Amino acid sequence: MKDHLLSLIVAAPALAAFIVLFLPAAERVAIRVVSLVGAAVALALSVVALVTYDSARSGLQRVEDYPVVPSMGVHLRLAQDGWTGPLLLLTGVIIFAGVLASWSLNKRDKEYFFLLLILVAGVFGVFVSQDLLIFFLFYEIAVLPMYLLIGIWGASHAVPPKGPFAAAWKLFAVGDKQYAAMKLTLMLLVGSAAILVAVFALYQASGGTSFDLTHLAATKYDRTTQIIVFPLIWLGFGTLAGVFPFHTWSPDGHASAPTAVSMLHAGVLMKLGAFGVMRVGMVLLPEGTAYWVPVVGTVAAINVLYGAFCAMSQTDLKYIIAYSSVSHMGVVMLGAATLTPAGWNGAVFQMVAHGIMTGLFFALVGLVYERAHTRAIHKMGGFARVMPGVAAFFTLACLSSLGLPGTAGFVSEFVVFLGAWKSGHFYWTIAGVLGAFVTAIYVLRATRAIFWGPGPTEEFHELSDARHTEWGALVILGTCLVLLGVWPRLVLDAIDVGSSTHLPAALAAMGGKP
Amino acid sequence: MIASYIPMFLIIAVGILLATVFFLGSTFLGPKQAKGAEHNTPYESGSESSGGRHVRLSVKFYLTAILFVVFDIEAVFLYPWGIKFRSFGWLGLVEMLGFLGVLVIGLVYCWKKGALEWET
Amino acid sequence: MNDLVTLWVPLAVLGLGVLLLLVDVLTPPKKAAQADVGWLVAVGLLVIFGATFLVDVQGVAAYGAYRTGPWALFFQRLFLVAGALAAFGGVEDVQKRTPGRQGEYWLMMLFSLSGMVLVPGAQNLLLVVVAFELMSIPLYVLAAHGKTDPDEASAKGNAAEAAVKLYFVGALSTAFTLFGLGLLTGLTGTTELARIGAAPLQPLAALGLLFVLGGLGYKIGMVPFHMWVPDTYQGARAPFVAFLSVAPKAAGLAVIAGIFAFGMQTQKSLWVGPLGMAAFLSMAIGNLLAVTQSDTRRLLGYSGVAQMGYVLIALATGEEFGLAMVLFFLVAYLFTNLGAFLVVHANAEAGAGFEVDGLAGLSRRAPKLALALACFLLSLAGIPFVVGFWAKLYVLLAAYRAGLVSLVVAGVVLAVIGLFYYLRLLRAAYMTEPTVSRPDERFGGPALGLAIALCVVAVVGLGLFPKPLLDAATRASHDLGVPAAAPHVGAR
Repeated sequence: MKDHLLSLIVAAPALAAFIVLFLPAAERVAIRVVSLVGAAVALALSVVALVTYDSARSGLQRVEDYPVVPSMGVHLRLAQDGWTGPLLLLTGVIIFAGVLASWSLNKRDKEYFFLLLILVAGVFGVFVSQDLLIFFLFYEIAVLPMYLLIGIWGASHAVPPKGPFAAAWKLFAVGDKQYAAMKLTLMLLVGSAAILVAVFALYQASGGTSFDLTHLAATKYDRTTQIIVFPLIWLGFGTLAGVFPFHTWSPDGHASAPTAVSMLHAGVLMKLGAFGVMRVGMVLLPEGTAYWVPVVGTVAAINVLYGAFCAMSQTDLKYIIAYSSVSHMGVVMLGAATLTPAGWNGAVFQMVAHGIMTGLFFALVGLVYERAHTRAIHKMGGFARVMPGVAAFFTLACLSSLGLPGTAGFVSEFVVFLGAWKSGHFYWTIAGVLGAFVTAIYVLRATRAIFWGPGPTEEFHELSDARHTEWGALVILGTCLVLLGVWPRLVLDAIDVGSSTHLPAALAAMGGKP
Repeated sequence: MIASYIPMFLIIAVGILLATVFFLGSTFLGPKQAKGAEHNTPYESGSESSGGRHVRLSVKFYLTAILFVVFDIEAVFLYPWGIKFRSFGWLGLVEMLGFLGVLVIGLVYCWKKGALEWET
Repeated sequence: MNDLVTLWVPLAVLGLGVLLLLVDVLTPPKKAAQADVGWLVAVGLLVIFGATFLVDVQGVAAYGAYRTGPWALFFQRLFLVAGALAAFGGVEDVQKRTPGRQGEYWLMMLFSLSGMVLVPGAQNLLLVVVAFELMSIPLYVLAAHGKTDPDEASAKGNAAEAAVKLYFVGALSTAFTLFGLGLLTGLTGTTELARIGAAPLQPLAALGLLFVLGGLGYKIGMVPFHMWVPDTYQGARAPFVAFLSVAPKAAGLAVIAGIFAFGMQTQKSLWVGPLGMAAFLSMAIGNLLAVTQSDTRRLLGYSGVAQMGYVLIALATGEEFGLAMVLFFLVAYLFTNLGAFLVVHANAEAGAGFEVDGLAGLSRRAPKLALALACFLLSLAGIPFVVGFWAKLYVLLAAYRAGLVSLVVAGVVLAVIGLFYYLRLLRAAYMTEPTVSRPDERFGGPALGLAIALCVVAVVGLGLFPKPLLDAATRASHDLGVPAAAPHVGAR
């Protein structure tokens, strides 16, 4: 099957971005429409890609190959495997909803939509590229626009520099939201630096002829190389996945980012990190993985619990959701660390489920903040009376977050814990379940404090419910959340094909034993 | 390998030694007499110098000197060329004409820019 | 006849210079103030650049002292493009500053360029030195060109300081280089590059090499010989600095590559160590000092020091592959740094000064200029889809292949520090509000805009399609005749 579906998926947002760039800034509606069309095309094509993926045949499909620097073995090689479809769908849904959610933006819209679409093109690119260098290239594209997006359109709410480097930050006059943006960018790029070294190491050790992931996976690296390189990849990509203790950029970053950017960042970008760890680290380096996996799993367990407890002590709504992302990404990494087909299925499913859920959360938080102009939960209360729609969707997201059966969150957590149990790491399962329990406490508490509780105070009487395009975003995300909960096979079948293709035989053999 | 540098080091050593010997010799062996005001004048047997030490010459002198050097040195090329003129053949003639052409353009440039004007 | 044909590129540049001389002289004094001789220079250089693709000449001239081939041609094209872009970028500034006397500026520039295009072809130490001096001496004059500026009292002192620093350091560096070359020649008994490495290893040769490296290191602004860089960059006129910050550095690297990688290849063990050390120091000190700068020109100066560190990493591999990456990096650096300086200049032309804060709100005041600046900064920082990414990547890859893993790690980590100050500029341009709003701001004239646009096109175009440049660089480095890399056994 020779088609250009995958390159079209990457090109659609990029093309839209460039059209936006050449539109006059005053054409505010046109800019939005073009962005929305770009996102919609990408979403539609993602659905096509997912549905037409031939699960029976498994393996790489829709391979496209364009030489970039043939003398060094760099090819723009795109292909779809089992994992690709669901993750493309996730990205498509989030960006579509994200564009809808940023409809009411009124500050330098042109540049905003341009950067947003470029970022999404990068994310799509990472998911479809089969060449490690191109993979890395798209990864950078996906990470960098964040700096401007947070720095310019971030919340006016200040995030003062904290921690050991606070004085240094202040010295260079990097304060408030720009501090969050700078911190995020620099931390992620230190991660990229580690990845780059690992990429070189893999390239050189595999003969220095090709960056093709299939070629790299077929190479047998010696044990020392594997043990040295794996942590580089784990921590490099892991920084983006919010691996403890390199997660500190995430709450500040998410809290300062504008709504759509938070959605995209927590919903999709953090998944890139976990995806990178699994797709590059674990698939290519089975021995290194086997050596490090107890650490990876334990750190993931810490992530789950630490994130949950941090979320419990927050009073700022956005920080609660941000820390819950750290906690849920821990579940993804936990699933990956089990090295069982079930665990990997759960990990990828959790990427999709959490992506949509957290997208919904951030969209709702954005709505509430835009109307109430506060994010402190103790000031709110009884908002359900003035914005019933928002309240309903928020409750839905909460239920998915705590893993209620019938929502997507349940499926993923259940499968991950199953995998963890099978892999024999008893205490990982305990940590995961405990994390889910704590999650239930803080999300329910937050929901009650904001929407239910005693009626809205005087100043909040005039709040309105969601409006036209905002409904679109909420409905799409909410539908996906329920749909995946009641009919997980929609994506789980494809994910299963991907997991069984990718899980190296060496790892699958030891999956049962710690 | 280092041994081959020994003569060089010897020369350096002898040079330093010689200078030291002469300097110390004149200090210790020379006549020690009271130095008067006369002794300290810059030139003992001529007339007193007058005026400041920093005479500022007009920049025109330098300009003229440089122009002279440039054209003089370039004209020097003509002599060796003239001796080997026959072996260079026509190509040599053309090359030299090109060289002289550039020289002429340079002269025209100096002229037009006023570098040859003394009174400005 | 043969010699003249082989030497046609330097002769053509010189011919352009003579033509300019005539034009300058024959223009009536009344019209002189309006004459756009800069355009003539830029277009002329572009014509010569285009001709290099049509004329296919290879071979030696002047009894083997000069050799042209892909290696020399690669650098010559680089210099011609740098000259043309600097001419476009500077034409309005020169006319505004020194009306009626623009000719002098362009003459000096062309004479410097004619020396520059000789440098990569020089196969004999004598010609190397002569060509290098022919390149350097006009640069001292150019640095002082802003001195006759009538309205800015402060600029006067600065330009003089810039010129004097450049001059003294240049003279000192020449002395160093000459001393080192003298030692080498004395030890080997030849001034021919091709034969210089054949002599047996002597202890004094190491000293000679160090002196040569030091002397040339001044020219390329390598630590610890970088002290003049920020002051000169700050003092001289920005369009000239744009030229100074790229072309002479490339020439210096051509000489370093010629002497070390080609001439002294057999004695690699002597020079790889110091070169690697210099590379590390340049990256570290350049990047760290750039962080604290508040003047964009000084900041870019230190960033240039750091960038040279990356080039030296590739050179320190001492292999053909690494050398190709040096060439690639230099071209990337040419467009990027030249463009960045021109943007900074354009911003200063609008009256906002050269402080980092002066960039405030550039994205509002001049969105296209801000976008161009963003392109250049991303390229300097090594971000994908602009040419700087490939440059950094290739350099680090070459170093990794040659087993210089520690330098790779240092390079990667320091690149992140570099990103910090590039983002600072970007932050000023995009995230801060304009301090004063002047609706009638003019960001330079059309020629400056054209130069910046050309740089952006090159930076983005080569970022998307690096292959042609990579191929050219590979051919050129192959032409120099450095032995191919021995198959290196990964990081095992």
